[in-house]
Amino acid sequence: MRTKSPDLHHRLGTACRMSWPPATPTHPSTERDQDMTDHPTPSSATSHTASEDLVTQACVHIDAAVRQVEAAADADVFSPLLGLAGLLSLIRGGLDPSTRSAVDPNDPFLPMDHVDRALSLLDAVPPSAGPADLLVWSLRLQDLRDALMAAVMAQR
Amino acid sequence: MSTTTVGDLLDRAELLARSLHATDAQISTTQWCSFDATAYRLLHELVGPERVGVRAQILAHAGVSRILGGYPSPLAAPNPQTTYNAKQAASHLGVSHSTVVADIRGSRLPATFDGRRYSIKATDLPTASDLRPADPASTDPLDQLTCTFGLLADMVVAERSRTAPTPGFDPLRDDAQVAPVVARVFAMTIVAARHALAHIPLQDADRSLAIAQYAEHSLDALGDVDRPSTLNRVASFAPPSSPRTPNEELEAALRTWAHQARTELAKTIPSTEVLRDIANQARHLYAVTAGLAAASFTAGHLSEDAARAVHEELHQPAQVMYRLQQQWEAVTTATKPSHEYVSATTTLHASLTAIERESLLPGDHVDPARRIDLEQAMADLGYAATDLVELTHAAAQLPEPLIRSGLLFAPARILPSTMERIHDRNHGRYVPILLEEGAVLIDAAQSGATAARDVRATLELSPQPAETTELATQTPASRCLRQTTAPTAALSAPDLF
Repeated sequence: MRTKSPDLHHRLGTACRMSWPPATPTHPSTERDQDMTDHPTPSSATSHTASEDLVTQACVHIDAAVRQVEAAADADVFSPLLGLAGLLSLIRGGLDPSTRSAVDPNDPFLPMDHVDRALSLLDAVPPSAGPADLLVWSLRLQDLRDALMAAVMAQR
Repeated sequence: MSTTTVGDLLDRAELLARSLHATDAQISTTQWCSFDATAYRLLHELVGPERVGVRAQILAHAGVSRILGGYPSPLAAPNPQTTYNAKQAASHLGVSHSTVVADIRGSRLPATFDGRRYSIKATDLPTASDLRPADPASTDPLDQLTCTFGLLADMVVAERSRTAPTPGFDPLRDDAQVAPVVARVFAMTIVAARHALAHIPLQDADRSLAIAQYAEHSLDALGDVDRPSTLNRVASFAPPSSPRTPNEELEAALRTWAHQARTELAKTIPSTEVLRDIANQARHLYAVTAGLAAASFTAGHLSEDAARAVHEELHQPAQVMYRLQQQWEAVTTATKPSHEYVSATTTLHASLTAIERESLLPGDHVDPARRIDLEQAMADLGYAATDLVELTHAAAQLPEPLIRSGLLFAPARILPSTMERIHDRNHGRYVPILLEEGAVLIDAAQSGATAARDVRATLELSPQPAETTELATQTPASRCLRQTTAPTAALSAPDLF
């Protein structure tokens, strides 16, 4: 899995140091996980950087869940799963509109796994760090989790 | 349903005008003046400002403006922001044009001059000091008629002040659509003025006589305008603040979502997540509409062939919307969606999903508390389809200016590789996309707007009363949909497809 993020500093012609490998991995480090941190981060404020990484990784998991839920809809444009995928995508955009995951054909996780990992990562962000509205997005994701669970089970 | 259309209010006003025959109660001069001023305000708002641009429209509008300009000395300016030229001010004051010009030159009437004509603020003109709004609690039919005219005027003002008119639906800028409504207002004004002539103190009857004569002359001047007007479909919504039934939940969720979506689209740099979500909600709305239609069909209102036709007409646009949301997914403006929008769209999703899961179950399986009124739901979804025409049209205008402004980004890895982008590709960065790279997105957005218009065309006749004449151009599927608005006592298996 790979994260690509916009680097607005780059547009302005300023240098931006890359974080590679991740500063504070919160789960077993894999090749995919290392790729996920392919994200520009500020060169100062280490704790801030770490919390940004957590949010970014959470976004990658959410985005991966979106892709899997959409795939589960099996090209049925009337599938209820697509609505849930849209809401997940909106939450990801609220956390960080500039993070996407690349398609990973060997992704071992299920959509619920991705959502649970995203929730864990968001919970791990220190209270004083991360976006000011992090709690709200985390709550929205938690609320959506149950609906997603029911929809995925129904799909099976 | 807490939705009122211009047509609904006109029908109510006509009922009230008819009921004037049955009352012999005297009316006061104040009551009449309230009606007089409100009728003028309504006519003024219906006619609207002068047209610019297309010569045919300018000429057509000039005829209606001339009729309004003949209103005998309006008692009050319709709104404080109005400005008049010298001729209009003369008509307003009931004096000659030369008198107004003389007053301006004599510094007795404030005005500005733009090199061609004078501009006079409505607030600088004398108005009747004893004008009072009609009492909304009054049981007198003339007062009720006045209040209804006032509501109509407010609706017209609200519709005209919309920043983003719905494409293909802008009746207030089409005099052919406005004229039939103006004619009905004149007809009611004649009835009210004749009623006033018989029931007002004799010393004040000259004003109502003048208005009756003016309205009769104007009605003739409008010519043959006995035809339906799309202006009747302009709607005003007052969704319940504490929705209890599935229908109320749907209506409240739809209205809140449409409002929040408009707010998001009006941002200088909208969120691509929101743009994507609008396409997603459109797809979901079409899915639920198809489900509701299927439920009606299985209740025995339509044949299976007709049901399939409707399903296809909604399925195709849903596919277009799905492709559009996939296109928006690949790019970003780096703007976050607002919490209010996310709350609104989550609520709408919950309402739509609840209808799919709880209200469209086969026959007896539906909890009575969750049973949905199909006619009402289809009407609400019809209005939502009109909202989607406006929203998708506005969204389709965005990609090109965003790209030209360098504000639409995509991962360098998915864009064509150039020397300048090698560094960005290697570092997983986003870069501004070029116009030619956004061609597919632009096409998809325009296809989405077209699909939304097609769906509205399919659904637009469904909320209308059964006695409405069907148009020759109506598609078979839309004829089918109209039949779905018939109340359904019980639902049977909806899984036709």
